[in-house]
Parts: sequence; structure tokens; C-alpha cells
Amino acid sequence: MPYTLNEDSPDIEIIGRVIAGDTDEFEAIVRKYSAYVYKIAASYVPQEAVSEAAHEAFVNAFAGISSFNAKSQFKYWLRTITIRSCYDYWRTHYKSRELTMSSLGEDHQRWFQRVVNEDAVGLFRDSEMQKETVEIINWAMSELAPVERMTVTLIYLEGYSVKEAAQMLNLSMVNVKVRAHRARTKLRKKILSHIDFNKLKEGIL
Amino acid sequence: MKTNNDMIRKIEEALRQGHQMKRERPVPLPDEKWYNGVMARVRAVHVAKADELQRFLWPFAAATAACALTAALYAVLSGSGGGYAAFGVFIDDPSGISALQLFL
Repeated sequence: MPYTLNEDSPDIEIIGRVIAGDTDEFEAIVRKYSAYVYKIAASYVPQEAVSEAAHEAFVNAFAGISSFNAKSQFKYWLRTITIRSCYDYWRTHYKSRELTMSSLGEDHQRWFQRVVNEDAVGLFRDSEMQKETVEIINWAMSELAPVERMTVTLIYLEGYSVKEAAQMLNLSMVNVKVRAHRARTKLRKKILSHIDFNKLKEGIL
Repeated sequence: MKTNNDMIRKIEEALRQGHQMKRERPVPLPDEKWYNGVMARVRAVHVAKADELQRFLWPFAAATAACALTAALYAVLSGSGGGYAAFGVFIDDPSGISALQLFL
């Protein structure tokens, strides 16, 4: 049967009907925001896990829809739910995760050399560089605990404030600050242990 | 002269840019199967919530019924002129209406 619900209704009306018990109305929300939720999830979980994280985000949004405050925008409330679902993804998969690489290959060593010695502008137009960047991010993050991974991603990579990150992860600001600092130190250590800075300076990698 | 800190800062900046670039990549959109899967889970959550509410209310309903039964029994045993009881509250009954009549 073709989809007939009105996706153009204001969110608040749809949400009201969902809370009143019309579960099928929630499909309008799912269809309206699926691309938005997919896009957010893609920033926090691996490509192959995006649909799973987005799926969980909508189920969690439905389960908690009565807690939505009508004064705030639904879109931002859904963003928080999605980020928490991604956090849950890492908590579930942390122990069973596959380590992408135990050490870096020659291509990745060259990536560091180019980043250090060349002007960053235009560096990422090179598709090989793009691929290697994603691999290096995955490699660097692979040993971080879920909460560390999320704080680093939110604060250093996405540019959210500590206050916003704390609200999204349902943690205190002090906790987020400590976790983010600890995670950044771990990342630096990991990168430093895999790079020969003397060779890098001389450009002989 | 580049220091190690300068270099690590450049690397961090590159990783940040790389992450932004990752965000800009097109994300595959969900298909009908995915929408159906989400809505099936949503309906299951709805049913589970209703069941949970029922489980939560059941002891209250049972306690209320037991209380009413006790009150009716007390009223019958104490006779129509002695007063009637409802939910544990005893009230004088000058009109002589029996509690049993009230419950029926």
C-alpha cells in the first residue's frame, strides 16, 4: 500500500497524535527526518552501521516521545537522541569491535608526511588522501572507550561546546572535560608512538 | 623550525578536516524495507508499553476490588442499621440504607 500520511503537517501536531496513541502517525516523522538522522549517525559510527544506529534512534525517539518538550525544536531533540543511540552503538560493540589496523602502513606514513609538510588547503581533494584520512581516524580512535570516542568526536571533530556535549551524552560538564582531555592525550600518544618525527622533519619517510 | 607540537597540531587539524569531509560525503538513504522495519519495532514498543501499563495497574485494581469486597462483607455482617463502609471509611448511616444496597 502506498504511503499516504501527511509529512507536511507541523511536527508538533504529528507528535500530539502519536502521544494520543496513533502509532502509525510516527511514520511521517521517520520519513521526514530519516536523511537528517542518517547524516548525523554517519559522523559517529562506521558506514556499515549507519542504518542500524538510525533505526535505534527512531525507536528510542518513539519510546521517549512523551518527554519531548514542545518549546524546543523537535529536530534538535532528535539530534540528541541520535547521538545517544550512536553512543549506545559503541557501548554495545566496544568489546567485540575489530581493530582496523594494529600499525600503520607506508601509505599512512606518507599521509603524515604530506600533512606536516604541505599546505593543508586542497590536500583532501585527493581521493587517496580522503580514504587514508578516514582509515587514520578509525585507527587512532580504535582503542578509545565509547565515552572517550564520543567526547573527542563531539568536541574536537564536530566543534560542539563542552556544555552541548555534556547535555547530549547526559553527563556532567566536568566529566566531559576530563574524558575529552584524557582521550586527546591518548590519541596524541598513539600518534607519537607510530611516527618518527625526526624522519618526518627531514622528509625522508 | 617545526617542533613536534607544531606537527601534532597540524595532524590534529588534518584529522578534523578529514572528519568534516567524511560528513560531507553522500550518505545512502534508507529503503522501504528499512522504513517497514522501524515501524514494526515502533508498533512492538507501543504494545510492550501498553502491556507494561497493564501490569503496573493490575495490583491497584486487585487491591481496590479486595477493599470493596471487604467493605461489603463488613456491611452485610454488621447489619443495615449499623452503618456502611466503603473503602475502609466508616460513615454513620442515619437513613438506614444498607451498604449492600449501595454496592449493588
